[in-house]
Amino acid sequence: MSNNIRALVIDDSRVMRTMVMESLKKANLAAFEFVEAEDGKDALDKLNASDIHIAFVDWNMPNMTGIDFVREVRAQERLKGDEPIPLVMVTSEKTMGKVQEALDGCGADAFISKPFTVEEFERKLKRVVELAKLVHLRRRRMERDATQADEPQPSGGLFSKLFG
Amino acid sequence: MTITQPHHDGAFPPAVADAVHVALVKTFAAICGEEPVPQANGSLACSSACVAGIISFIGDVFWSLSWVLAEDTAPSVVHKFVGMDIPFRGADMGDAVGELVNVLAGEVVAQLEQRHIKAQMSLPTVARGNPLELMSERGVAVDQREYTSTHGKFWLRLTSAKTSAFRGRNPGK
Repeated sequence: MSNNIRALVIDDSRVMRTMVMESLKKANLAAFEFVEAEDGKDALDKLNASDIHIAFVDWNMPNMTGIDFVREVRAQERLKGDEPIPLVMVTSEKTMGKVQEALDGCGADAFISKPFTVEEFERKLKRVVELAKLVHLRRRRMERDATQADEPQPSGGLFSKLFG
Repeated sequence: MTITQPHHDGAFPPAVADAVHVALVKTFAAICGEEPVPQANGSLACSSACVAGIISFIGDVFWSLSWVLAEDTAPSVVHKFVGMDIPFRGADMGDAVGELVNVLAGEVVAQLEQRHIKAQMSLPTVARGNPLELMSERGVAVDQREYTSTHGKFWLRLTSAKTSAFRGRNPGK
């Protein structure tokens, strides 16, 4: 498993995905590797297939909007008992109603308005990137523990003593 | 670009036009670091190629916004916005201008909210042509303005649904 934070960047605009990825690379927050998705449905598939630690989500997209994606991810996490991953809305929506809907109503962790700057990313995303690092760390521990549990027990160990 | 002047029987709602102007100045300043200058007697036609980002709004008023950038203006503004060179005829120009008008529309909705006017925006459409002709159906109200900046000229064209759609209302009051 890589030490990089794996970020899912969701936007129907390729240019905007590139802008988000370039800004994250320039912001001094973490080392990232990226998975790109063109809409909410595409993102759900990639989220389930990849080991994603954080997602950056546009609001207005065809097929499945960003806010519907956020709702669906939170519902799946509750159903499966998974640890929530940080979800960041990156959107041209700016009204307080939309911010509240995303953060309080749907469970997004942060809200970035377009146009954004690298400095804004550094200032507003520090906390959520730290959360993503924790998600990454816990998954690595779980993977390591699972690997150790699968390894054969040395002979003469507790298993042998108990069950001979 | 040729902008066909439609027949209309009413003015575009001034409160909405004012919100768009404020949003444009704010958005352009955030992206380009300067305020664009509106031209009092700006021309309504441009002989070179243009690209337009178009977005519609529903709510208290049914209307659309077209942000029309001249061939020389678009790559310069887009470079400031996305931080990379995108040629006017490049495939990514549509993406970039679509996002540009989307950002403007987001600020427009916020400005309208401050004026107690409800609005929801659509996904953007981008049109590019030489010349680019924007046409409207008869009976709509139009407000169009030309702006200049160090990045070049551009135009805003606001078109509302037929005036019966907001007759009897006074948006923003």
